[in-house]
Amino acid sequence: MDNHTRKKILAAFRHNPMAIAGTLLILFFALTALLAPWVAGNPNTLDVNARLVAPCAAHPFGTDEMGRDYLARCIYGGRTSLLVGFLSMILSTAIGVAIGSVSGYLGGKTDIVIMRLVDALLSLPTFLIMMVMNAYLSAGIRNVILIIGFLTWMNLARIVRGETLTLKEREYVVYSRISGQKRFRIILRHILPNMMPTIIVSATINVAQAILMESALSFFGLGIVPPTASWGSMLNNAQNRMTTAPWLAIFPGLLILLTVLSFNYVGEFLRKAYDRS
Amino acid sequence: MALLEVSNLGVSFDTDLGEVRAVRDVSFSVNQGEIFGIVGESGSGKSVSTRAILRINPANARITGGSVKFDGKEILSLSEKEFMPYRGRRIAMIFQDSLTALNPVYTIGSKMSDLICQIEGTSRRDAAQKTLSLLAEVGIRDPERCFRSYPHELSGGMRQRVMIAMAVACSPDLIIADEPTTSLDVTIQAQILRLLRDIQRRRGCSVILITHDLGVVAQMCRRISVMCGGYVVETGTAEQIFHHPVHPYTQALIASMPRADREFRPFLEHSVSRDRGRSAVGEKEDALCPFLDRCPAASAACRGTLPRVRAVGEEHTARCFADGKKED
Amino acid sequence: MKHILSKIVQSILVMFLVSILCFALIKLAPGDPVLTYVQPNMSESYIATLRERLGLTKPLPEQYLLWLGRILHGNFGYSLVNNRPVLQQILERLPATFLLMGVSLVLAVVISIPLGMKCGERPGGALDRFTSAVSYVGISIPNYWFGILLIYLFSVYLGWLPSIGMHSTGNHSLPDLLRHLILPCTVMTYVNAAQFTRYIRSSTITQLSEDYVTVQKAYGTPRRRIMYGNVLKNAILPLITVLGMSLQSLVSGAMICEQVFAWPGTGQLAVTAVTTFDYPLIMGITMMTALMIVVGNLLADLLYTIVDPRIRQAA
Repeated sequence: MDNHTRKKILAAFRHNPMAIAGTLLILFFALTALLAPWVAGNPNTLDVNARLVAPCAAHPFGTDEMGRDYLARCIYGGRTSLLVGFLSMILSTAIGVAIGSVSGYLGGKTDIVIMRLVDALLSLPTFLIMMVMNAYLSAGIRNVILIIGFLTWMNLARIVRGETLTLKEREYVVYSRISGQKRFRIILRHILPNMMPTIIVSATINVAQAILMESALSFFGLGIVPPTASWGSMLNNAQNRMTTAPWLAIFPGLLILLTVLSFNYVGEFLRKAYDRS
Repeated sequence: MALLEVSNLGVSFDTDLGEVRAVRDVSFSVNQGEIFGIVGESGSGKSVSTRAILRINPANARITGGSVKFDGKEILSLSEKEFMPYRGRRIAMIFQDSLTALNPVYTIGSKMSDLICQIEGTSRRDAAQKTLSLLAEVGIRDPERCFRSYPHELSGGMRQRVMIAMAVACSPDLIIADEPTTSLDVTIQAQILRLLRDIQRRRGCSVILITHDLGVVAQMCRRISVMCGGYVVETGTAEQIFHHPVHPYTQALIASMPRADREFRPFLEHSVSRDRGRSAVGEKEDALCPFLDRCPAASAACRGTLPRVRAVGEEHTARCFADGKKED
Repeated sequence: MKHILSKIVQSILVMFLVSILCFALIKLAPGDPVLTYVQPNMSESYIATLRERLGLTKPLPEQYLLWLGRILHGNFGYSLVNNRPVLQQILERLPATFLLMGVSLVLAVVISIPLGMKCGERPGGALDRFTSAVSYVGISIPNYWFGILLIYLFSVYLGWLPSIGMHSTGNHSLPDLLRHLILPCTVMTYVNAAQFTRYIRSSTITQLSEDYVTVQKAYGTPRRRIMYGNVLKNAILPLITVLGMSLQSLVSGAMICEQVFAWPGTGQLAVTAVTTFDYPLIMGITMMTALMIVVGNLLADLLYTIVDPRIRQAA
């Protein structure tokens, strides 16, 4: 990305209070998650005398059915959700970019086979497959990340392939090819840098998607299971106490909504900003 | 007598980077029954100034001043409703890219009939009949088939004929042709220009021909305005512009025309570097001659103020301090 | 014609790949599949013959072909839990899923087209900013959470609407069905309409900057006429593709929604199948859903070919 583009995007950023708010919110959640042991109380301290306490000064988010401080649990839950979202994004972006660029650059039969495989994967009911795989593999953060990462790269691969097809006809790429540079090197040096905007935008929105998926899996009792907690698994727990303790369902859901909303908004902002410059 | 009289027209665009003044203090007039040419580089304000007459500039465009008189009546101050009867019936327009100017998902016939119905209030059947005869008039051999065709099924020349047929559908007094031949092959260009001139003669209407191609105006127009950087820098008859150009910009344009009797010199071959010009003028640049930083004949006076439009001959005006004597 | 044929061939190829993936998914399942048939009093040799009879001793490709052959004959096997034919179970549940998905899809399209066009007509206006905020929430909200909030508000707190199922016990009237449909349908319509509105809005903005709109303006076509007589058809074309492409997420959304509202559709059946490790049922549902998505995509392609004259001619 050249300096000019960066300047323009920064300028657009300064004039977009919503984008600033979204970014600050993401940073705030990320920092809180990182510094959880220092900023939050112990999420596992039981207090049998303070079970299902509604939000109050001592417990801003209330307490759960075992008397654990819900704010602390939300902070630790966010740690899991953000970690899963971020790592799944890295995995799916890496796979999508690799497969898309190789398929587009090599073309021919390889391309046809890979793209039909992508079509096939895009025709499977993803959520069902995720549930099935989750049921096979033992639940846990690592498996959730792997499952989401390996099942969400297809759209990006399609986009990257499309852009690679255009880029590989550019003069400088043709030049590198006839001057005998290695394919892998051409993809890495001349093709991928030119689609960074696409990749960045897609990665941002992928975090949002991954967080939503993890939360849905965990909500169904798959994905993240006790003793680890994520926002989704907290909702699973809270569902049955909707009538007596609605805050148990409201806070984690609101946190998911705010996080996903921020990532979506910032991603969309970046897309527009890149398009304009 | 003048059919259209534009005086001191200014148009600005409101953008993220502030106000961009695209058309400044532009004046020209078009006589009854003539083809009037406007020449200039892209971005010189030719389209914007004529589109302002029809009020079809993008929403962020704003008319900052001036007047437009059509048939003796001021039309710039009319309300949108009062201006309605002028559209199509008195002033029509032909666009450059006929592929994007025609709706891709409707047939030629359906959209043309729609327009005729809408402007003249005729029945659909009459409108369809009229469409067919118009298509025949612009030299389309199989009007019925063209009627049923989608834009992408026609050649560029055919589409431009359709655009012309649409323009003359309601017998306007003035047709604004914005680069009507730019996207066409040279041979088709000639055909379309001939058609435009035939139609203009037959119907007796006036035409404003906007182009960046001096060759086109030379063969089509009696009078010409040259635009540069949002200003009209010179106006005169074809004879005056081509044989006695006053403004250095016009001279440079003409010098850049390939001619059999002279070695080809690319436009602006001898111009001063853009960057040097800009940095020297800085902030004041906005209010000075638009050609200043590329002008070979720039003087101290040029760096002081913007020259006024002055007469340099009968029907011949220029916005320049130079006296108009050609150097050779 | 050639275009259509090649699309059909492609779809068949994709279904073939789907079947391989599906088969692999089951083969990767942990545990020995024969154990699901084994009862404590069976002898070693009996288990071995059982293994052979189930075709589990044959090489994998052969097993796959046998399985594929049965699928093509409509034999999806029997549920491990209740021994009922898988296909029959799925077909029983399909109408409920189609009802929920169909109604919410139609509603989403009907809402999003005029709304998206109004917003695209005046980007940055009051309506556009409001709609934009609401649709951002729509694409970001966890749909199951939205569902449980609605249940809490309208069923538990206000008591206006039933929270789960498709019918009240013993009541199979249409009004009762519609009352049950409201909440799940609201969730799915909102989420889908949010997405579609954004597409329609942006394609309207693109279309409004096209030259043909300027031409219409130059000839004095009224605003409404420009929007609905010229832009509409162009602006909704991309929606057909978007609809086809979003089928996958639509199905996932429906699955979650059905589970939350205990809507007796295939989605709920799928969740049950997963939690009870009912492999034949999982496989059947996966294959049927994939088939629906592939056919849906194919239909979207064909529809596009019919509606867009540019492609129609190329086809």
